[in-house]
Amino acid sequence: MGWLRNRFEENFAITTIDWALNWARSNSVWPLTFGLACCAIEMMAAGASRFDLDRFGAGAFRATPRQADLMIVAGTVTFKMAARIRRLWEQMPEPKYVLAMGACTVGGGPYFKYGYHVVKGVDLIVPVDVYVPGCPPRPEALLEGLMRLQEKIRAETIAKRAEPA
Amino acid sequence: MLAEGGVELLQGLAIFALAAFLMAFAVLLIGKLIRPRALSPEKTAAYECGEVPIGPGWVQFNLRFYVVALVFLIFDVEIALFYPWAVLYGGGPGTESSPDLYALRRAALFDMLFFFGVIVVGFVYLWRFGYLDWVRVLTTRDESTGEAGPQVADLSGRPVPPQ
Repeated sequence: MGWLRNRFEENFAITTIDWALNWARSNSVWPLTFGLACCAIEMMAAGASRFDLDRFGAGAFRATPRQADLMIVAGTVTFKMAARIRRLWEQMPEPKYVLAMGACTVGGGPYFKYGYHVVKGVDLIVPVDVYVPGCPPRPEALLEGLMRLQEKIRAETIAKRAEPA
Repeated sequence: MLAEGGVELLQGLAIFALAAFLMAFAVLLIGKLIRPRALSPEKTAAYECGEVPIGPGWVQFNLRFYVVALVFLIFDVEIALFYPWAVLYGGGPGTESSPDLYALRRAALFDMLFFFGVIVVGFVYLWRFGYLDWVRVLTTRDESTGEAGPQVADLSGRPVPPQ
């Protein structure tokens, strides 16, 4: 991680840098162009003019993981796709976030019992930051999930963490 | 000795160069300090839509594409110059005519013919030495007997003088 990280106690300078970094990061969360199933249709709707993901700075869907900050896993994750998802996640630069969208990615969804081909939750493959339930979630739900993610990013700090007592 | 005002000019240039260097350096330094750096073999691998990359990204293309690109460039520039020339000096209905304009058009015509001649020399060269053929003809063949004749070009396409 960066040189400044975990190096200084929490003080005015560090919290100011934190504020600037989090302000920049949370307001330009570029998602990866990555739709797996029907949830991707709702994701596209969220990106289009009616719901306008761009208002939150997250409308620039990147066609390469090199430029992406957020992986919206929108749709059923099959075992065949799982290795690809993991590789794409590995190829994203830090800091990177994952948003699990829809019942299938949260925990297998309708395929939980009889879906021999479906991963029972994308958090078995990549670390998930925000879960958005629904089948599929409405675009408003995705916006809510994005705002939760932004809250999470704004709470980050590069200050040295307190030693566990 | 420097001319009058030369010292001020040099000072200004030095300050300008220093400021430019410092600004670029400061931005790079800030990025170096705060950016996370976590390289892994997966991250440095070529991106092939999540698939395992096949072979390295640094592949040597066939060198003959270079000639193809040059030939394309020649004709591309030719068209780019011919088109405005034809439109501007073409005359056509509705354009006024005067002795001055006539002389200008004649000069433009000869200029363009000269330019075209230069291009044609290159084109004839390409044609003559087989750069337009993907598979090079290396030998001649006697049509009546079917036997291979003397080699006329080596593998790089250069003509071989007759023995």
